[in-house]
Amino acid sequence: MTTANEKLARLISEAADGKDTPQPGHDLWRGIEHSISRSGRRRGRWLNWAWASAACAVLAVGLVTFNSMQSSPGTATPQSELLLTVLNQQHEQQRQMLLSHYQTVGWDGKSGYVQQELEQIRASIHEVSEQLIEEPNNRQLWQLLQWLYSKELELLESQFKVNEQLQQV
Amino acid sequence: MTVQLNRESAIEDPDRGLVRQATQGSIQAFQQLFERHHRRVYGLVWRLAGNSEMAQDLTQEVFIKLWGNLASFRGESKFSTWLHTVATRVALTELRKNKRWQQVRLTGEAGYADTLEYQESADLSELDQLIRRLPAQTRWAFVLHCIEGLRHEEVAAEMGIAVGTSKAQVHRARMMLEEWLSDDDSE
Repeated sequence: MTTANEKLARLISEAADGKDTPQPGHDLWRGIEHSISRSGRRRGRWLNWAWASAACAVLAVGLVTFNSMQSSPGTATPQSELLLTVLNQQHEQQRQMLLSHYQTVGWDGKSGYVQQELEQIRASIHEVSEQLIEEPNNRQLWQLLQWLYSKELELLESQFKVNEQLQQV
Repeated sequence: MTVQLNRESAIEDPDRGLVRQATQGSIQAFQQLFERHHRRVYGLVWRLAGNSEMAQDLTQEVFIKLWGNLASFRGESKFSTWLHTVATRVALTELRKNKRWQQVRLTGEAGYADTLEYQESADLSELDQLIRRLPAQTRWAFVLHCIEGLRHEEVAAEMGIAVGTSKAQVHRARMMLEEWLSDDDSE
């Protein structure tokens, strides 16, 4: 065994024992604490926003149902189209916030096996929206739209939960 | 049931209580876990990264990711063992995709990093000063196998390479380090 070989073996042994391990030059906790507090606040803010959106949506559906009872059946009113646009926009915002929240905490959310179901739900939302323009007074269709919105969000969330389990070490 | 009880009693983990509190959202408990383990994590990621600025970023990244994934720790091993695996994985993933550091070096804008490295080199052990000179993949295989004690199969799995490649990289690292040590002795 050469001198360099012996010396390397000794240095490796010392390093493996934790001797002279490099140490951080400054406090690293502050940055970590800032980051995890911020992500917690962001999540809280998202949940508040989601509750507020859901409440607005319920109120909006209630209003349109009330209006539809007073207007002639089968007529697409500008209010109902406007409401439909607002609801779809709100849902899209919720969806984007959910995705960005999970991307922030580190998941890419690309589980293949739920993509097909998500696409079907998106297609159904589109179809129901189109149908609502034809039948703005159809209360069941408005309820179906709400149900599809919630199902899409649930499915997105479940996808991340599955991903989380798969990524366990 | 008996098997499960035996397994739980076999793993006496001093971090168990803090992990449980941190999983329930206690930042104070998480901070205590950080205080207990961050030096070892820093040492590992420093040796993988080969410089202190990246090591600081990586250590923070490891603990931020850990906070988001504490619920996935199932207690089948010691927390410190699990953390070590997480740290290795996060560090290698980040190092692979982080081209910024290489670009900074290539474009000669590494003033701050160079200053830091110059300042810290005096505090480094002889081995750590030499480790920095190894090519990245060679360094990772050497650190994980020779210092951290992973088997070649484990190194290969973590690095996404063949077992034979891991062995070859470690051999190469040893040769380079021995050569540099010989040069130092002859000077």
